[in-house]
Amino acid sequence: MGYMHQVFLGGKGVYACRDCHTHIALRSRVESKQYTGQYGRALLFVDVVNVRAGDEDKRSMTTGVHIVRDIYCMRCNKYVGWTYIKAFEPDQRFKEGKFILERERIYDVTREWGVY
Amino acid sequence: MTHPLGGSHAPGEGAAAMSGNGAGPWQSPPPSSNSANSAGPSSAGLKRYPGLAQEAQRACLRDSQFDEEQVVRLLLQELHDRGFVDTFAQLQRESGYTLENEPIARFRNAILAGEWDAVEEALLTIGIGTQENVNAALFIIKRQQFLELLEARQLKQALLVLQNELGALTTDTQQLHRLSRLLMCPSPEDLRATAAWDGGGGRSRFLVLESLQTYISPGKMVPVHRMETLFNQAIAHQCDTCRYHVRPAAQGLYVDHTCPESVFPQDLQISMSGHDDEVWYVAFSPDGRYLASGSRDKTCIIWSMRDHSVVHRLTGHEGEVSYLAWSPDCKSLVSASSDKTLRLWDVESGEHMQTFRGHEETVSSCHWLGDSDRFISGGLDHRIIIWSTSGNIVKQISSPRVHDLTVSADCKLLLVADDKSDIHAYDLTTLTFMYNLEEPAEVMSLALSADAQYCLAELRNGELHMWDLGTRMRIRAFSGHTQGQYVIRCTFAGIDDRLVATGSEDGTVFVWNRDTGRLIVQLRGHTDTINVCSWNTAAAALVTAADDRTIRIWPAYHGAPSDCERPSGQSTGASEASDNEDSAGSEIHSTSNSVDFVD
Repeated sequence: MGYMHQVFLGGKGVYACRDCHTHIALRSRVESKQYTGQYGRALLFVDVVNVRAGDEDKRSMTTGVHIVRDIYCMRCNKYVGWTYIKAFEPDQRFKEGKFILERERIYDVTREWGVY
Repeated sequence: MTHPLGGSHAPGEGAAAMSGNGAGPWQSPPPSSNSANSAGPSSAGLKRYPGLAQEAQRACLRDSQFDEEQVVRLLLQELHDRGFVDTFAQLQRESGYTLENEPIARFRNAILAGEWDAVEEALLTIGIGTQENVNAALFIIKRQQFLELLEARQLKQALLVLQNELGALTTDTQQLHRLSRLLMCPSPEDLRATAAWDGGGGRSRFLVLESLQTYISPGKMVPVHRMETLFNQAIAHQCDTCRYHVRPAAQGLYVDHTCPESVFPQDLQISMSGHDDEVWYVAFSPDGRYLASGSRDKTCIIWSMRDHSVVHRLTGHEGEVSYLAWSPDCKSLVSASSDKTLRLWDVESGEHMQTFRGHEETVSSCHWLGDSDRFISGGLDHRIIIWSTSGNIVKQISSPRVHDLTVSADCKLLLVADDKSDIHAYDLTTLTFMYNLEEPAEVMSLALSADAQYCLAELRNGELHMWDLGTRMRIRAFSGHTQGQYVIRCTFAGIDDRLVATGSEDGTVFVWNRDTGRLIVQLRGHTDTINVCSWNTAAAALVTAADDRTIRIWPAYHGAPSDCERPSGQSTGASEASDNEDSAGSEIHSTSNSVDFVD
């Protein structure tokens, strides 16, 4: 793994790892909130930072079969969501290369600071 | 002040303009007793090989492109400097050339003897061109006279020299003010320190002679230690053109300096393990006798370079150790951690001396500031802090988030890599911002050459750039390695920082020539991402640490100081026992300052 080069995000609406507070994504990069993960509600992001991806896995989901990789916080190594490598249903292709973050695993640091 | 311009020697007239047949103006009249030998240099050569026929002898004579007079006069100077008085006189006689003419010799001797009136007189007879030059030369001479009078506490005479003579020779009032301030120095010692001058009995007269050289035609007075200068230039050139340059140039003149063909030989690599997790930092002690490593397992280890054993395991950090800094005297070590603290350790005992709290985020880097009682740290919390080893904050500066920082050897320059893509340069003496170097991607690590001329920046996009800090231009990019989101710390390596080394995520180490950008060698051994590369000249080795939990030492060549005898199969207990009973020699060996390594 190595010593991670931690990226810091700016502005309002910064989601961070609930355990180690490492910045992971911007609320402005949310594409959809209509997702469900292992822990309940989940969000689809166009891009994320400070994560490490695990091995590829073929999973059957409500929207069909996908090849995905789980993603982990790069600093504390805790599971935060997954990323889509390949979707087999043509109408699900748009998810390829995007990221799901479990709402349970992240929190909005700016809301906590009261910077709203 | 007048000066006899012209005369028989026109200014600027040099030896090069003179014919090589021994008819130069400094040719001494052939001594009558030795007329056979003064028949001329060309025929003198034919006596060298008495057993050979004339034709063959001619073939053996070198057809030099250099003027014979110049060569002989350099030889004369060298013989003179080395004190070969008889040979010197003999060569003058035999060649017909003299080192210098009578006025020059008088001039030189008068300076070295400190006879200032005679110096002035001699200067006017040797002819050194324009009145301006004469004044400049006289200023140098009178300044020396002034200083020597001050040193002898003859203040009245010194003041006279300053007012009547130095004042008339220059319009540089600042310089005169500086000199007049020296009158206030209470003691000769103080004078020498203030004037940065080593006294009439030191080298100062010689340095005066050296600086006067600029005003005197080299044909009249051969520049001091000319042959030595040429030798030094030759060796510097050999080092410049050396592809690797990992071995210091031996002071040999018989053969050209070359570095070994096989550089960082694979079979010499030494692997050390002792950490329970990824090793994130490793650094040699400045004297090359120890290594310190920091790991994700929250510990540091001090290793001996003699037998590559663990000397101390430093525990206490509550987070990963991501940076280490050895104090210049090699007695203390500072570690920086993601637990937001720095810790100071005593190297000899391995004891924890101090914890430094003040950062509110991961401490990303630290560096000692010259002496061994202050250091600087940078954090991801927008803070740069200067600490005293007693635990106090000396100074705190708000800054961008610091991902890496480095300090020049003279502690004047501080470079900081921020979390955008800039390198900020600060003047560390005044703590003021100087300039920005812009990179196309986030800078993950920095390295500064020892002379603070070059800076390496390892970027998040996988590029490795080198900046010339003099011109503030990006002058070179090194490529071949792969690197993404993990920090890999690059380094300058080799003698005079002529190489550049960094690790790759595939576990190989890349070494390039700094000046050509050519890849010299790719070192294989690690099995996972490399986190840090570091070089030490005393050990003549690179050290690397990686995610595979090992540290590897790469001696630069066979027989390098770090290429010591590997510990054999015997157990540590056995080797300890033999140490105790065998001889105290190995014990003394390890504590003395002499070379600790077996060649």
